[in-house]
Amino acid sequence: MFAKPAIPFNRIVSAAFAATMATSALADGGTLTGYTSGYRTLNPAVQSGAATGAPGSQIFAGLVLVGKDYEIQPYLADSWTVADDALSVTFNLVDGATFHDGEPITSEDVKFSLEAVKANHPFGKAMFGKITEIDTPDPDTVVVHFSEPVPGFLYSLQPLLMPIIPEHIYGDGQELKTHPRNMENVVGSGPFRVVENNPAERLVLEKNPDFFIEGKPKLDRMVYPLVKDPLTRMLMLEKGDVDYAAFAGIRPTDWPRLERADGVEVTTDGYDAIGYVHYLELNLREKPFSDLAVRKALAHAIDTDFLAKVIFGGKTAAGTGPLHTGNPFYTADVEIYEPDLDLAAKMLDEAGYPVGADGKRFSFVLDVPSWAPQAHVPMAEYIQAQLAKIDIAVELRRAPDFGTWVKRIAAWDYDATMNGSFNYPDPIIGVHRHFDCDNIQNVIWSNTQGYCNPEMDKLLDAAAIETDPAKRMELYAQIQKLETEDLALIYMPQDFSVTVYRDDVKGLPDTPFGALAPFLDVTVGE
Amino acid sequence: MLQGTLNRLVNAAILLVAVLVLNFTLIHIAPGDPVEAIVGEMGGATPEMIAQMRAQYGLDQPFIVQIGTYLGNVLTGDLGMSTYYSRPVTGLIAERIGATLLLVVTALLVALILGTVLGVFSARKRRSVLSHLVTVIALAGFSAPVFWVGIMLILLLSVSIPLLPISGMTSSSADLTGIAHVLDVLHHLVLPALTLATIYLAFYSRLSRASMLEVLGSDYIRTARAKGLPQRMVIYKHALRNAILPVVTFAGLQFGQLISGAVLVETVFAWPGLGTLAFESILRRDTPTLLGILFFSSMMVVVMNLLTDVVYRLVDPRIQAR
Amino acid sequence: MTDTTLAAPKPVSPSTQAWRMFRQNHAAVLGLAILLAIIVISLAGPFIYTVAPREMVWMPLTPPGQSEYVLGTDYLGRDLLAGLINGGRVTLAVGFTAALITVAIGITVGALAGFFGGRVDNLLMRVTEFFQVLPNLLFAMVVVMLFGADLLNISIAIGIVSWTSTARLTRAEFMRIREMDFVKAERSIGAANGRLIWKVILPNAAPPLIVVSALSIGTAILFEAGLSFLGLSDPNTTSWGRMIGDNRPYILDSPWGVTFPGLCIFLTVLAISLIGDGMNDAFNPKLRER
Repeated sequence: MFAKPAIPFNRIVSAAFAATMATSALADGGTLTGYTSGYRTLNPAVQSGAATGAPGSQIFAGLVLVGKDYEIQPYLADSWTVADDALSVTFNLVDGATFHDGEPITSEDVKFSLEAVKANHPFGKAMFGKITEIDTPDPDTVVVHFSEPVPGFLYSLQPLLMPIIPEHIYGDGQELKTHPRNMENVVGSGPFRVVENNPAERLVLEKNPDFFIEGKPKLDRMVYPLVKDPLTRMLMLEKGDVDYAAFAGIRPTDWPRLERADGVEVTTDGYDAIGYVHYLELNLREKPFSDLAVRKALAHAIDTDFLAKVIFGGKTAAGTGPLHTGNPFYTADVEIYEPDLDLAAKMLDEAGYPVGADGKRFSFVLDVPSWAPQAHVPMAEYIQAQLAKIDIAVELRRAPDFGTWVKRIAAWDYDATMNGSFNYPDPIIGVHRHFDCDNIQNVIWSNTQGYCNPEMDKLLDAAAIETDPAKRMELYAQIQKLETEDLALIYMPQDFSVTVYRDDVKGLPDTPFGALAPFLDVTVGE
Repeated sequence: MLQGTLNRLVNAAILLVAVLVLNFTLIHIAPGDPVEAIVGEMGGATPEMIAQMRAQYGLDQPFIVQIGTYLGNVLTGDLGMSTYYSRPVTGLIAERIGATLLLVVTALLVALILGTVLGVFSARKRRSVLSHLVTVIALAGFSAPVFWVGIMLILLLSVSIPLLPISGMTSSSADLTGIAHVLDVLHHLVLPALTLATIYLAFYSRLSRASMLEVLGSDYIRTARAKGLPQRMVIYKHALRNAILPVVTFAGLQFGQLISGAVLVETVFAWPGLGTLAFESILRRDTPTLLGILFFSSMMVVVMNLLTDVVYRLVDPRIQAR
Repeated sequence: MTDTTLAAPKPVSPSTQAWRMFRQNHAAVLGLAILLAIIVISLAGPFIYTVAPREMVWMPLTPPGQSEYVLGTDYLGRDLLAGLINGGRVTLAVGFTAALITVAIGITVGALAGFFGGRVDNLLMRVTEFFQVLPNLLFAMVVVMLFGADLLNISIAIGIVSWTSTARLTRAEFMRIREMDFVKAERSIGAANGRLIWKVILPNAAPPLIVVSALSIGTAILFEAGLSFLGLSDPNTTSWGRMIGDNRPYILDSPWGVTFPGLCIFLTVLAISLIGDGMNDAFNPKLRER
């Protein structure tokens, strides 16, 4: 009798009380239920990542959107012109757009937002560092000037990375990164507005009736309860309690279960632009990792295909280099290190690391950060077990909290660490930072490993200002090849990022930004 | 007696200040600080941004100034701002305490009542099946890790037989109000409260059994029996009243430790209480929140100790005489 | 100790007598047998069953009995049986070390307070109160987080938050025995305080303290399991608590990774509780009736 789940208790309860709720339910254009793993702010101008980005992209509008094949589409800017010398862009804003409090969105707000992001967002400098001046000749026109061409500029202008925030709220002189209005009484510019924000329980967004695109969004409400426990998520998804979950945070082993569930769809689409990659970062300043032969030996010892196929159930690709396989500039034509433990041992012997009297070649501490344990713990455990076979002793050190890990890595005070980062659609934002000599900084997710190759720098600089797509493509092919030859970072299987949704959810954005794009056409049910 | 109470209050206050100093110092000497956690969370920051944020939280001040400021603020009822949520810590604690209280009080009451009943019955009939059962329950409850009991109950009552929700406090996907909401919360409460009660039950059944046996063997009960008072009256009027004292004391002490007691169960069931908040604060390096909860927990213990004392005096006239 | 202090000559020593009592307690003997078996398996097991506990040997989440790894594998394809055998070492090591710390601090503080009384007692009881007020698990979590999750730190953290009840019990025993005639007699012939504390009073206070110490091993094991479950454990070692925490997200696919280590903890602590009860009865024959 228990083979099939009984009717959930809450369904019975809600049925009993449906009568009282029916009146409001009739006018409903649909409520989409998702979940969140928690966020410290709703303002994407001061926070990167999906936790803030997913609701943030609904609450705030951007100047443009990125379409299916990476084509730029109008959003808050209904048109724009790039100057012939590529040193300025002029945007024309749509008419009559307002913030959620009714104040008009003007060119001054756009200027304020650009400057706010440049100063406060972790990628601010990478994205907008070359902006020299922003003109606002009239309330509907913004002109942005650059010192050098910035080919990826327009990609950075969608709401995830460049939300339009109200100057009349945030321009009060308070520190933007910890501004109280980032969490309380948030005034946005996007298709949905915040009606309930209780970080310990849930976030409720409601359709913005005055949204600047007529007839959009189609949904009436979006509810994001806080659900952190992967097990709970899994059961909620399986039971259909959740309509839509991006960055679902499920395990690869959960996939088959979900596929068996009725009316539930699973997809890895929609993460290409984000490009979440994982890697083994070795501190290149000290022996033995300063020695390229050692890094190559490690690359031969670590079988990333095994990790991808067995540990991650074949649901994610083994990364080949700095670019995610979904990135438009990705190439598979790079240096590949076939898994071969004997060869790895031989290379270490030749590099001057024979097995010592204590039975070890050398030992090192591998840091395991706390922010992506589902990926990093298996990888680290595997690396430890695998390297033990070629007599390298790996001691794992799990950071007790985020800050401890950040401090160690940013201070370059480590041997090796598991790590990961987002590519973002333009490699200038998410990729260059790891390899540029100038970006060897005491800042997390910069070039903390201390890699510096003048040839690489030349390629990166050229790619950063190359406006011809074909030539840029070629430059990135060379960059990927060179990175795998130098092994500045050793790439692991890519992140298992999935979206789970019920099959009555229609109109999901099928763009490279997928989960982090605004839900203008989404509907639930009929 | 008034003098004694006053003394106790002063002692409690000194104790709490000492707790504050210890906690603050411990966390201060540890590597890492909240700004690094925020920076990590943000996805990186430039050194200038970091310096600016440190100044904002007063982390650039010397230790003595920091602790002085903190103590001063606490005395005025200000536990500071959460570095993660940018909201006052007192507000966060106020938001979460309800969930923890609901869980712990329910579990404690169930365990207390059931435990006392079982304990008393088994003390009366020492060789009975029930008595042995109490011994077994007590031993098992003592020996099983509470989080494991929770997981096993989930496997049994949420997965194999899908009767109860696996975790959380509400079906947040449904918008319930009024009675429906209350029923929903109760529905979610069953498993975590049951888990916690299993462990507590072990303590109370054992304690009340031992206590009852001791009282039943004491002179005045023998006297009462000798006087020919009916058995039920002896048990329930005289013996129970005295036997319950250690149980009440223990309940008071355990209630004082409620946040610590709830951490594991709250984690297993993703129950949005203070225990999970404390654990998250550790992981996020949200120092003000963590310090606030530690302080609040210690305060609970102190207050409960004082209250237990009062209850003790009320229930047991002998103590008053002292 | 002189013969005059003993009331009457006894045919057998108290410990022999206690052991006889203990032996009659079937539950306690069973507990002892279980505990000894667990200790032997943990110590000798890794030499007999040589599968490396941290190596990925088979498909992840294989149920018991479907491969050469009889208990199946965990979420990373590691042998559960090897994990249990090796994890037992860590769990027991932390349990015993933490109990040792608990007892050492508790008895020292309690003995000094109970023996000297007055100001010393007052001061030490303040300290005890202070530690009692700390939220135990939370505080241990903070300590482990701050000073690193290695086995010694975990043991110390558990010890720091657990010793107060031992101290109170020791103090009470010392206060009681301190006033007894044989102690007064010793004192009158000029015995030094150190001798009085450690050689005269402590042995007489031993029975309840031994019981409490034994039980504190069980408590420490549960404590360690809790910390490990929350992720506050040494990442280079496998413990039973950690196995539960690691495998918990996968219980829908394979409950074994959680069930087995939990059973191990349960059995171990149960065995210790049974032994503790047995000892309690053996030391206090008049209470056996309970």
